[in-house]
Amino acid sequence: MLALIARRLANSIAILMLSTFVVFVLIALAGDPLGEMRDRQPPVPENVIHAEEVRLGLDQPVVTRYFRWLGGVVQGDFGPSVKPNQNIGAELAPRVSVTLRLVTVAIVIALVLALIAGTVAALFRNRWADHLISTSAFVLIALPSFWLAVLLKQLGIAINKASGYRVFFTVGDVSVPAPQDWLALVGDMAGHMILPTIVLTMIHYASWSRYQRTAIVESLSSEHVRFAVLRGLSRRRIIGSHVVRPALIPIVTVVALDLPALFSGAVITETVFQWRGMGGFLLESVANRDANAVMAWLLIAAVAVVFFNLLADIVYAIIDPRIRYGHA
Amino acid sequence: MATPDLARDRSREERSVSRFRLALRRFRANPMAILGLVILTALVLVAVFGPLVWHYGYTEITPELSSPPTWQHPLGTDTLGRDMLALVMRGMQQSLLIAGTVALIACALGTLLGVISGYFGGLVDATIMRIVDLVLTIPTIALAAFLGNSMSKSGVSWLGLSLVLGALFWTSVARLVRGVSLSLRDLPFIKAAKVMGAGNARIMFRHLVPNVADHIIVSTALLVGVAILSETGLSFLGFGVRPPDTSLGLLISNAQSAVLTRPWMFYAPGLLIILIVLSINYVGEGLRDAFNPKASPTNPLVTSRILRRTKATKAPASDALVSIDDLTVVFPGADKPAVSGINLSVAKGEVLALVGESGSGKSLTSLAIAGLLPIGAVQTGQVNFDSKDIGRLDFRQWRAYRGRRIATILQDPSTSLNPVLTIGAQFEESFRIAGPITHAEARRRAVELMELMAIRNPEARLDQYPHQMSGGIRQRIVIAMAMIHNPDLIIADEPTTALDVTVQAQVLDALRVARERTNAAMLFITHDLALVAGIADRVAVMRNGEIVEQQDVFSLFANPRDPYTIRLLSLAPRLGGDVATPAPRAAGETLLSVENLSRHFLRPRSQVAPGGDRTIHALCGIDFKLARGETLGIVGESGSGKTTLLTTVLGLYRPTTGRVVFEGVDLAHADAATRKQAARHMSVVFQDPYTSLDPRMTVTELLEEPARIHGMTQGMRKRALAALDRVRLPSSALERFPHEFSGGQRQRIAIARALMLDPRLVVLDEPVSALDVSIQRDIIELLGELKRDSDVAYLLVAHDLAVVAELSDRIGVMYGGQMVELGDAGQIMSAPRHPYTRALLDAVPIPDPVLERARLTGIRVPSWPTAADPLPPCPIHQH
Repeated sequence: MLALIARRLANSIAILMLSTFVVFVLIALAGDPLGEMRDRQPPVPENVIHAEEVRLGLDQPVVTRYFRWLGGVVQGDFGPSVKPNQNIGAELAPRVSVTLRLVTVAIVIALVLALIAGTVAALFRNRWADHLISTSAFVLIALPSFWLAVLLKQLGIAINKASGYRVFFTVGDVSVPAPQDWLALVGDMAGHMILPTIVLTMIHYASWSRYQRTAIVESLSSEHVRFAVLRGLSRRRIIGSHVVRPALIPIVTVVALDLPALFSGAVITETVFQWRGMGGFLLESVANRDANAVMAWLLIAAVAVVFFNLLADIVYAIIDPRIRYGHA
Repeated sequence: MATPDLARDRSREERSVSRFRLALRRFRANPMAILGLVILTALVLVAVFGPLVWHYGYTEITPELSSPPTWQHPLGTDTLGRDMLALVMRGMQQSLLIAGTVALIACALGTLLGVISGYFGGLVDATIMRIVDLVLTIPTIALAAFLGNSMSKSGVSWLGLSLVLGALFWTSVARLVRGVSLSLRDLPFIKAAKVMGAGNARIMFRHLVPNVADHIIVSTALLVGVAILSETGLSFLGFGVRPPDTSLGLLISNAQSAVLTRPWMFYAPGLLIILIVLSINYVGEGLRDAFNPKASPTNPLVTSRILRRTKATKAPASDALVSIDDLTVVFPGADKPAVSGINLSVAKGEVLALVGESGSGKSLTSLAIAGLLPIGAVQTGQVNFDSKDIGRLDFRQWRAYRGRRIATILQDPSTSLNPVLTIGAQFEESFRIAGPITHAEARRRAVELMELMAIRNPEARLDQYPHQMSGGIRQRIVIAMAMIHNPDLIIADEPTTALDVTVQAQVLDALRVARERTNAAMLFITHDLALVAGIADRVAVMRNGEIVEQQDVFSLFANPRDPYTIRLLSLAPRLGGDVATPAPRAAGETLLSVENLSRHFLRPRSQVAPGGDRTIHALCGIDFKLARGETLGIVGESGSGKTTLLTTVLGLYRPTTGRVVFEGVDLAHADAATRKQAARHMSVVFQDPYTSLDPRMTVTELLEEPARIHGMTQGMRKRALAALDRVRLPSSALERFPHEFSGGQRQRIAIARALMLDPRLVVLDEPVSALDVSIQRDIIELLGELKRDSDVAYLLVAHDLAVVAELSDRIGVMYGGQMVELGDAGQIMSAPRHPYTRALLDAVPIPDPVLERARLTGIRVPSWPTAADPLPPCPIHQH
């Protein structure tokens, strides 16, 4: 088992390195961070531009720049930003926890809901429960997350106005100023999370529930379920241990694969609800063509994805005895 | 000798139907898919032709600012006075254009890389998959946004955006195509193509891609929906399509603050996106169901909704344990009943054997007794158990019988047991159906039962999972579970069909012990008459849903009455009967010479204790010669290495050491061109006729392929007709597809294909084991005829001694990768020298009740290998 984990870990790190290198090159070749400066009127003097180039390290060949960047990253320094006096690392750190909060809660809720809904839909296949769950899932899959986000936000605002009372928090991830007391702080954050979490959860719940439905339908047709019925086991036992349990395993991989999509969704959600999370940071950096900032963002996203995939692999190996114990 | 299954062929008047057309029919029958298609087509038409017809352009500014929907502006106007309908149509155009392009790029790139990755496997696959992983770590929006933004100052054109998105989305198609390619790659029809000498490119594009095509189509269709959502999302954020052009996402972004005050600006584009993606998804799902209709999924938990029309209940006759009166089972849409008015009874403690070939209805009968007929089956007639009618019970009522009074043993032990529960847990849950039981007590009783079944180390087995043990042990555990509550009736549905013949003997022994301990009656279902000779008290023979004969076992074998029974009896293999006497031949020229052939595999590290030996000796020093016109039969059970031997001789894999010399050419070390030349004279027939023919090709294409590969297209058609003639198939078969034929007919087509280039050697891998007994006879006779008519040599591999004995001049016996005995057929069958050969011969049941019972209770031939006399280690050095 340990050997398995170690190998996956080494694999993951290799992928991470390669991925960051490719993205670095792509970004470096994609555009000129100083393009805006060069186009300014009245024209900026040449030596100022050159000084800026040197500050940003743009006078070096790409490969060197990559290794310098990598060296810096390992020490916590993400390099100079286009915005002078901005420390990328310090700016990103608090934002990561904000986004992580949103993404983790969304994953957990979406997963639990998807497992329940998918199982129910499969057990009552082609009856009204299935039609209801499946049709709503289809509609949710087709729903643009940004549209839903805007809709919920405006509805929240309208309800607040109509009732004259702060029912929904529609802006930001935490009140300003934040409550000091720990319990009140958590409550405050939770309140702010309601609407954005609904947005992020709904979309992923829908596609995972479809997947789970298929898995359970197939599991119901399997020979060992038939054998369990023939042995006279109770319905509860059969559904729990024989239908659902084996079908739980594949969804782990599906969730892990969906993580990049979750990040993209988080970017949109944070933008609409004006959270100071990674999403906002990304959009600013893209607008400023701040290559180092974007690299830092992508690095963190890549680490998260790779880490989650590794976690999924490990969980898979633990819960599937066919992988955990090879052949005796 | 007439081929018995031509009737089906003759009754077809219609044109042969390709799988594509069948899929189209299924799609049309799916209402949601059609609805989706209609809506999608309507939207596309509006997007394409709308702007030409509508009198407002999307940039045109009208004086009506922020006006709600009116006749003049059906969707209202925005704050600048632009007509919303025009804007929305333009947005749709952009989205569809971009999404369509993305889908095409992703499809092309994904298919190419997926097929290459799946087909070659190994390093190529690993590399491509790493690239996929790499691309997958990048959240699309982030990279697309940055690249889109940086590539040009005024935003990127639709093409640029499509390229970027396409380069990120190809991974899902690639993954899917790779997965399917990997599983297809091992199918016999791909192997057959390789053996024929087809090059990699030909195999990938003529065989793999058409068979993956449906997955590609479905996945690309669904990708369009995802691409639309991505593009609109990017436009919403400001990094996709930018002003002055417009996109549905951009429109929504502009309408953010107007949701409540000017809702038309917000809802129109949003609802349109939902509509487009929804209809695409329904079409995509419809395509998926049309291309791959899964066998109607069953749900055995549902209280059966079987319709029943019982006649007036007769008083159940006698004290029979099970009595079946006039049972008929009909499936909707079928023209004849699957089971037709059968009458059966099983007395207490009696063993009734139900014998029949596939389609006879024997399994359905047992399912009717256990209450598990498939949903939709219509059952009439009565099934009585212990004088009670068990035809109308619901799930809860059935639980009183299942497991406790009626125990069932299914055919395949590797799928009967739950793969994620330990054996101990599965025993315990079976114990619990009769009431609470402590963990320790359950373990104790389970160990007791397993010891009865002659399972070694029962304590350790309790904590293991099913995949950690062999098939024979699994089946014995299943039998042990059946014994738990001392049932009155044990239903054994083909309990040994999936097992080797030596293991079969052990399992039958275990069944005997189970019966003795529980005094249960047994309903033993099988297609093998010889098996029943030793265990049954009475035998019922079924054919086409009817019982054609029912007698006690001794009378049945001595005086069979029905012609079908007589035929089945004549087909039951009797060893020691006529064995092919080798035609006297002068020292024939050696066609094939296998010299010291070995192949080793390394087990994956995860499966071996650290420091243990990882080598698997699949083949060890195999040595034999095959002369022209000679037939050599290789016999062995699973794990003996016979399949590895075949694949190595055929050139599908390289040996670790040794040579395969065919017509003087060392195949293992020759270059591709020489091997292709040799392939002209060597062909192969695989075991499973359902997977050895490419389902997308007509019979003509299948037969002509070997000729095309070797550039012998002159007179191809005539050769094909001649080959069909030799295997007794009509020329009308040429334009048909494999799925239109029965198993026996498909195997004939495979044989015809093998004969196309007049080969000198035909390699046969279990040519009849996947066929019914009566069809087996026909194919064996056909093979014998072909052998006599031409000078072709056969290298025949089978696990069934009778098949091998009939066709072979010489026989080789394999075990554990080594050839333990090799000699003339007559000598091997009558006076075997090696203990394993003797054990193998002994394990074959004799189709004679008196002899078989005597054999079972008499002195048995000792099994081999034993601790005292093990398989000698492989003499080849390990590197």
